[in-house]
Amino acid sequence: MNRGPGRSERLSESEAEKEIIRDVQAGDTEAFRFLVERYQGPIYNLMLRSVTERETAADLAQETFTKAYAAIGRFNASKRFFPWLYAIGINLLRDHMRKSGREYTGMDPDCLGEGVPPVDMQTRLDGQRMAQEIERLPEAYREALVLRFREDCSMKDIAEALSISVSGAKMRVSRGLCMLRKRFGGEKHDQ
Amino acid sequence: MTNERFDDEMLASMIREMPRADVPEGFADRVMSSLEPRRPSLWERLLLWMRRPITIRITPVRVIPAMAVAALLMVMALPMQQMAVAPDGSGAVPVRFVLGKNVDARQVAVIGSFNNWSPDEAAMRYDKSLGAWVADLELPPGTHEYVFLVDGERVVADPVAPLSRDDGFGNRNSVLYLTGDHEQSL
Repeated sequence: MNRGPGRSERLSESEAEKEIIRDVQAGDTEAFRFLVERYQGPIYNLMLRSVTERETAADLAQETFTKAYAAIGRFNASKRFFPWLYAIGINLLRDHMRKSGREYTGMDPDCLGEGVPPVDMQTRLDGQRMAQEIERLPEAYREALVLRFREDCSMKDIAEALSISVSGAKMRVSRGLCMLRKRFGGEKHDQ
Repeated sequence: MTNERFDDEMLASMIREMPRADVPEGFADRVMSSLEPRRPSLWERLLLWMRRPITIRITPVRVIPAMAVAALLMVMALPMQQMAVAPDGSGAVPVRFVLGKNVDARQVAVIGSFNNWSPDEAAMRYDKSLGAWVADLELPPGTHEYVFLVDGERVVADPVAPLSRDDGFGNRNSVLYLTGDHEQSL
């Protein structure tokens, strides 16, 4: 069954997604595949940033979708699906970290990067290096930055995905950037 | 060599360009094979029906007779509508929220979809004769979600509400369903 953009040419992307969610809510299980294929990347990478083991990350991502499917009857299809799904994923991830006895990298209100040497010039513009730096940030800030700039979410969506207020989302993005600036030394040097 | 501020815009660009790990092959199939077909409950079907947008197409040929029928229905419905509205004429339904006994609290508010979840607008009073926290509100007919906010920080679902709904963040909201005839409340 074609659930892609061609399914309803007149509908915008978000409207088409809402229609698909309503189909799932009405009992069309196969329609859920569209949502899985659309958001599997962000959800899998969310897990991978914290657990590093690919198999565990895939299991957690799968559980996220399974839980979302089980609860989709109560989801208000007039809202955005992705922040809701992301919130389920974050909660699962936190539970997993707690159960496995791993440290939860929570808030770092001082916004400090001291003690870690700035990265060298050649790696500053390297996306791989940025990925490593992002992984080292406390989860609260890391996910706010990823949602804002990688997933192109609004502050309202970020707030919903992280279960915080809109002002809290703004604060986390701002402080997350502050941490990265410190990590990258605060200045760019072009030769 | 030039020195230039390493600004937020550049950081944002770098975050945007971060490599993304590929999802394991067959992941979507794995997820889909783990799902059980679900049959929505009566309540879910009702909500789905209420939330689904309705498309209305109008052609000029149909407009005139449709307007005539609509006008006729309005005239016929007028006496019934007058009976359905509240005494103040607003159509709102009086509702009493009660958070029962054995609640250790200094202050309680009822927050919900009807007041944008704002504790400032719905403080409850302690009724000594009932031994409970009480708020009398008038709400429009429809479905409302709500919880009690105890001492400004503790969220408590209504223990006597027959319906509740997962808010998607691990908590449950109580659900109140009001019809316009002042009789049905769940």
